[in-house]
Amino acid sequence: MAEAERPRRRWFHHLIALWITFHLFAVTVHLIPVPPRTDDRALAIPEVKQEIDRSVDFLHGLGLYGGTKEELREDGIEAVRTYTKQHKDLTWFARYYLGRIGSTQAWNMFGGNAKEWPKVMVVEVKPRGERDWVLFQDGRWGADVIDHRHRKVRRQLSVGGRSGRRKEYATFLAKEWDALHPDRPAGQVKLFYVQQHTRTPAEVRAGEPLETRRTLTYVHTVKEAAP
Amino acid sequence: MSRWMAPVRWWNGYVDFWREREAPDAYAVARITWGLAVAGNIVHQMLFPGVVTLYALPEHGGTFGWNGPPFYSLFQFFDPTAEAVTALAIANLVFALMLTAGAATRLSALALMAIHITLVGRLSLYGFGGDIVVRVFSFLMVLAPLGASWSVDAWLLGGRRFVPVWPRRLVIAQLTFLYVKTGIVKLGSQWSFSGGHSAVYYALNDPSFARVDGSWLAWVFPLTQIGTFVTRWWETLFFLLPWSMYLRRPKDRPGLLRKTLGRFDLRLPMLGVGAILHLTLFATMDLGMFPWVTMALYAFFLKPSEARWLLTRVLPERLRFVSDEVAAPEAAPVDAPADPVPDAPEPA
Repeated sequence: MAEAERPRRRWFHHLIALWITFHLFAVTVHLIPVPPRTDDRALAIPEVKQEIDRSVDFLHGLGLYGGTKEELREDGIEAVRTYTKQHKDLTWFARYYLGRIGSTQAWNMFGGNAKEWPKVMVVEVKPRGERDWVLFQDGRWGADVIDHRHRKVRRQLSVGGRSGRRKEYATFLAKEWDALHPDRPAGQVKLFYVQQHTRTPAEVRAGEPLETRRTLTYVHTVKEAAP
Repeated sequence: MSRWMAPVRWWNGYVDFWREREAPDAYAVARITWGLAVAGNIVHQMLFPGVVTLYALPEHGGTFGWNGPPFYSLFQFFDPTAEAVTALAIANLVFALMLTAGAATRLSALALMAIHITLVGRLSLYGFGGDIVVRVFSFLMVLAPLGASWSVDAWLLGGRRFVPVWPRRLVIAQLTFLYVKTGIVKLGSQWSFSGGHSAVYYALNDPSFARVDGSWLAWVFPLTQIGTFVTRWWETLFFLLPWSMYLRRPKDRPGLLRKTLGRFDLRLPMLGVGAILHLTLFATMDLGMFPWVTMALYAFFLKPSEARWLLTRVLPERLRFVSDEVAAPEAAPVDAPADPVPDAPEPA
């Protein structure tokens, strides 16, 4: 259709184009990658530390940096922290706007490395008035079938700084136990993680045994019998 | 003089791009796939592990507490009790089915957006990628003319011959952002040669995601390496798809890019690979409804003629509720296309 035959551009056409531009700009700046966490605790996570070590070795090997590896590591971390802060300061408008329309988005799925020592939660319960712990749920292969939402919670709780959430989840699990065992109400709930090493393909084919280690134990005492 | 007018001409061209119009059929297919995916998402939540567990406060049978609702949450008006979250979940399902049928389409989309913002705000540690996809795209669904044809609305109120194309383009842009960002952040060594392209192998051995013990993959490790490589680069390069679609639009002066990238219709290979990746993910990993809600958006890539062909295979043509008669421009100036987007012809 020739230009002359088109209906005239109206003011709202310009307005829509302006808004679309702003929307796409806000989404774009919001999606500029930043590390989710750069605090000391996050940097001490073994997988993160290993990845940083690998990067520092590679960069230092290029010979473009005059200092030591340790200095390169410190400078690098400082640069990333500055970048993260600047990003946060400069993109407040995008967070504000996208938050109002329910469109905040990160899309960091499976970024970084998959865990070579994934953690799996095991739940034990000590019924009220009894001495021994009883296995309630075991997230290891074939031991239990837990839906994806509970798997997600357990994965998130394996990260440090979640004590309040762990308590809430243990309380919820106590109620689950009580519903299944009304005659033996839970007195204490123990959450702990088993880390099992993902063997390399060569190790699996060679029949090497699965190495596991126990970590991060949390015990919650139920104050009163769940209704 | 004309040099000084160049920015104005550019802006007008840019406005014209966004104000193009098209037949409404692609929106109809997208409405049906999206509505079913959203309905499936809430049914899935009702079954695994149950909406009371997910959303209610601990004293009402839920899991996690909170510090109060954000100001745009419906929980500003009532507490997340077991009854309230169950009612919201049922309303979510009803509105999703209404959206699928195209009944009170805009209202249904708006209600779904409000309910999703409210519910996702309560998910806490239970939140999954599929929930975020539904929440983010719900906003765009409110803007899109989803009920303009093949819908109860079109039956009762009359269909529309032409609808704006910009909401569909916005969905495509946002889906592109999703994939490209997901590809860009795959910076870990396992996603590259230095880590042996082992990311998929390790992810499928993580009991947090995988459906079954992944040690059997040791015998087909090269396949997982191919999966790792394809996943990363397919996601990162997904922007080529909308770019090629843009280049394939009719234009008077074909340039180099039009002759190269615009020569091929990348929709089938790109979306085909995407579907294979999502279905493989669904088969091997428990990620909830994420693969399905994301694939539901693929319908926005259909041309109106393709969507119409698809719909007439399963529904009688009369249910389109849109007249094919061409109205005289002076009789219906508002309905006249500013620049109808014909299906892009194959470049000579």
